[in-house]
Amino acid sequence: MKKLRRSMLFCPANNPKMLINANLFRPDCIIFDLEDSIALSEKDSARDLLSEALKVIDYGDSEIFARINPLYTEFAEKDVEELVKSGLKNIRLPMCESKSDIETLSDMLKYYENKYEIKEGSVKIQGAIETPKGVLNSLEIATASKRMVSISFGAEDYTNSLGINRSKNRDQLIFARSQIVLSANVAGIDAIDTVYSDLSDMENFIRETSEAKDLGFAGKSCIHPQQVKEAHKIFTPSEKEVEKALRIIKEAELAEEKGLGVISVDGKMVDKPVIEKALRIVQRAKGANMV
Amino acid sequence: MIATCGNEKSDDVLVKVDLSYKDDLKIKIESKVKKLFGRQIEKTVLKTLNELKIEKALIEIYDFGALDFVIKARLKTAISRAKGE
Repeated sequence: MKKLRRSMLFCPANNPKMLINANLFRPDCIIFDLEDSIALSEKDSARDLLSEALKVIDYGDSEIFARINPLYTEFAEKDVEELVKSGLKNIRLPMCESKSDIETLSDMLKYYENKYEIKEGSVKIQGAIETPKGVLNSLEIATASKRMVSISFGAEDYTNSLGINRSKNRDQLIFARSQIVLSANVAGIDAIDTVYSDLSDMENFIRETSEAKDLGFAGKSCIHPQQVKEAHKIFTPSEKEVEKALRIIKEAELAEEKGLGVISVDGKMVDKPVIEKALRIVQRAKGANMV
Repeated sequence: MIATCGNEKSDDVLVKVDLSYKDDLKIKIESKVKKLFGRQIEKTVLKTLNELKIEKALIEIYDFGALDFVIKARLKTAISRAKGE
């Protein structure tokens, strides 16, 4: 069954309390951060703390990622070595701009997987796309390696690179978000939408997340448990949708047995794309333990 | 040769390491729960020092309710800093 990535909750890796309680609100994914939320003077302590936490804490069904420092920093390789050694299975690479970034990380992973006798290729990558160059190269990033499981969008760095402000209506993000969704779709991996940092404005978080779902994102990066709850509501199909999807699949199966072509459910034509959509809804419902 | 790591915050620990202390291995522990967990904290410190092959040092542990993995991580970082790594 395909893992759902409806929510990816960021958690600074240098805070013991947060490391212990990170899956209390059952996010689909937790991203322990070694990058932006960690002061330069504490990069070493955050890395050591996360490495030790990964060895002993059971995070249940939550999929664990670590956002390492960018490859051009002195910290990146040490992050990779310590985390691979500790058994981490997913790395989020910030500031991906081309396939060579993914290839460099992939080579590094291969080296440390072999050094610590871990199955080669077992550590997966999420590429974070946060610059105009990254957006334009998103397809080559998404398809750069078999290790790729998703690409994500980072609107703060993206708008910063363009020298523009991020408005509440998100007009300036529409091309980048759409491009990232299309690239992920072609690569057969998930696209994860950007964080929404105004915690006091849940209404606009819900609007932005609903829009992300409509564009084709699989989930949303979150910075607070309350956002996780809302993201799950939005990215989980409703009972009505699931019931209808199950009916469509059943009718389609019956029609196939009878050798019929196009059928009709609730007065609406059901053909191949509609059946495929119904199958996707049921797959997501299964991932959310609804069926 | 002297370094610290950690914080005086709940669930954390502040570790001070002096690797210039060459007489012996000395471990000082301060914790509100020392009576209950002092031996466990010392055990974690000794195990970590053994893994890192540290035989002589002065280690000060100021515990604020840290779990074993936190004590181990903070000690590891403090030693690495004291070595100038």
